[in-house]
Amino acid sequence: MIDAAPPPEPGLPALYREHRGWLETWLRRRMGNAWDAADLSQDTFLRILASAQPLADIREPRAYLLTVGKRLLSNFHQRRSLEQAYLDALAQLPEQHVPSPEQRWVLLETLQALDELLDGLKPAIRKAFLWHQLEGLGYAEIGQRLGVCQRSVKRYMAQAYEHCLLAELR
Amino acid sequence: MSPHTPETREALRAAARWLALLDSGDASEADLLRLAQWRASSPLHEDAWQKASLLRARFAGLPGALAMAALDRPDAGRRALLKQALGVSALLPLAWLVSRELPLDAWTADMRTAVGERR
Repeated sequence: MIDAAPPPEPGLPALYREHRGWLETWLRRRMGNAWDAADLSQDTFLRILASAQPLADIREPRAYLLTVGKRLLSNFHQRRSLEQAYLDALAQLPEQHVPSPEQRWVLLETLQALDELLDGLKPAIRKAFLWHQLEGLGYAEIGQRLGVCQRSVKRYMAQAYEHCLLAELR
Repeated sequence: MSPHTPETREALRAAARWLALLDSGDASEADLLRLAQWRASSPLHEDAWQKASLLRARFAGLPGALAMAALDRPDAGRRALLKQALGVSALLPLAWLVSRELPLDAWTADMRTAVGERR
């Protein structure tokens, strides 16, 4: 048994030491940017540190890191995409309607938080919910636009509220 | 971290249905009375109702058109497709913001004049 590798040291420090470089390389290949990859790799370990999962239970550390890392990468892209849509929309606003830099920042943060809550909703439900919340459309008009009855719109609305509320629990 | 028992989740589900009913504009006096009773019947219900109301208020406080453009963007919810979209184009709107803060317009205008003068 002399040739056998030493048993892996338990705990986050060992996980970090042994796999951080590998994870960062994996992320960099997908993000094309070393700084973002380093940030996200740190976030991945922080997330694991904060999670309830006992580290001793992790049998495949790299698979586990990838699962967490992929989710964060996906969030990262989602935030970028929202930011771009937001900045595009800001650029279209007449000057007197453009919020101050502070307001722009707060608003972006709020939108990103709500975007995360909405994530995973079916497109029709998401649309119905946003039309109602942001454009003030009634259920009848939403139903017409989507080609469904008002009862369905009400069900969509309940599903959207429930989805967001349960997402807040995570 | 609050514990999420099945009861918590069920209360949130119920609160979501109540909001959907209120938002329909079809809630009757009897419905409102039932809502009040439901809220009063358990602290869990009241808590869920407060969370739900807060959620609705967060949306209500947004500037509609701007929020719609951001949250209803074409690729929303289709994350897999986003990766390719993150090229140089992401920097363009940022450049616009920067140009609002700095006198870049004057700078570029001067450059153009200089080019014109050479001809």
